Amino acid sequence: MDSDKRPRRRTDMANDQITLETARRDSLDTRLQALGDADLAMIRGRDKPVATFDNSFDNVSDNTL
Amino acid sequence: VLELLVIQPTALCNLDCTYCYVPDRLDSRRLPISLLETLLRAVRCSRITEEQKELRILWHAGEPLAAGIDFYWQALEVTKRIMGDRWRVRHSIQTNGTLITHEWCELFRANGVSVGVSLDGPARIHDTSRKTRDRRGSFVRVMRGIELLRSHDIGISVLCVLTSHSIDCPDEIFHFLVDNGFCQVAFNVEEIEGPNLESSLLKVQGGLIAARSHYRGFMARMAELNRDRGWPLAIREFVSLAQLIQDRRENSMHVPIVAEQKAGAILTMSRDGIVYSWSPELASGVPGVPDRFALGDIRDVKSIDDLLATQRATTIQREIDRGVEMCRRECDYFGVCGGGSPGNKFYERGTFAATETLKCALQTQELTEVILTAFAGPQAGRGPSLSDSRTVQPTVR
Repeated sequence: MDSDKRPRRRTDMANDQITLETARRDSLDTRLQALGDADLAMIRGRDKPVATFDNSFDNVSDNTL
Repeated sequence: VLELLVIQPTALCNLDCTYCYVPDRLDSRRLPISLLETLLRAVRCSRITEEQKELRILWHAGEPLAAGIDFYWQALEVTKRIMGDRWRVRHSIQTNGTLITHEWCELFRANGVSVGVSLDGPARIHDTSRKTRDRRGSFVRVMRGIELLRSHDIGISVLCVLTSHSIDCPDEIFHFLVDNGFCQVAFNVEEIEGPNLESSLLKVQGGLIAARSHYRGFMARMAELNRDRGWPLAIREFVSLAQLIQDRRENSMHVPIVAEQKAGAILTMSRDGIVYSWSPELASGVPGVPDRFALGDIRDVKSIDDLLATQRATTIQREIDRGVEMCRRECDYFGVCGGGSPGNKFYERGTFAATETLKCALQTQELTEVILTAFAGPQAGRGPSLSDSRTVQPTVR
């Protein structure tokens, strides 16, 4: 049977899904790589002794708990 | 690993903020110290903590100071006695700031308690939502408490809730914080949780699309002001997301681990000894069913492992896992999010097996776009205005 006409199987669809996920992830990752290192470091507060925050529970303002 | 133990010593609160999600805030019952002892022993002998050397305890409620200072002297002593030989225990408290006295400051100093104060901005903004029981603003009393903390050299971080009244005022809030010497702030959005069935951010014309635009404008302007002044403010949302972005940049397979999604990683105990896990807001239950997510009574078990092995725990965890998997499949931002907050999902969508919430849309998606717009490329972070950036359209339905 011509592969183009072969009924699509579950594994094919799963592969399509993985491809779609990878494409989306790559899109975000590509954009993230374009960020300026120095600016990102500045936002993260690496250059000065600021608190690190913990986003595991957002009704807390500080994670120096 | 038990990453955070949240203890609600009382639901009582002297304020009546418009967006509060804690029920029974006039109930003055207090956690008996004997129940605290039972909880700590159940934590100590748990399998999930057997490798642990450190424990973070957060006193939260209600207004935690409403439990009274004598309660805390006892509670901190009991904690030291039961956990002290093996664990380094770090205490923190999230307070509305209105009940702070010199005596409280001495307790915080003596025990190294980290203090977070809820403050929504200058009086005009703060007093719109954070009101006393007789409907007056609480700003003056909060600032008095902050001054007392400062007089004892106690560092303060600010928790600021963004509502429809404040989200268009980034300049006013930024200048208020910086001019008053604050250097750490977290911006929560008003969320739909527990008894708070609506968010003012969604009640404006345009609904979610408008909320996205307003949030993005607020955070972009915050970044702009902060950058122009040399980053005087550590803004939790930027610091946290920038770290997640950095992790992802270093390893494109990296996915954040979200403690709220893991049974036992966060435990919350209410004043009556009922234990909850996952998002601490789940301890608020749902209207009419306060124990909707209760795992059990601490008096009925020897170890917290017994609570995490219940049928309810297994069922909830399975549903949370389904929701996270849906996020992984459907959301472009999964690599810097990890699947969101189960509490937000349930309260907004009625199930843990859901994807996008208001918090995702704003604090993950829009904030990522703010950072990407502001700091990507050779001219990044140096443009004239970050706050003109367009709103990202929803990618998950």
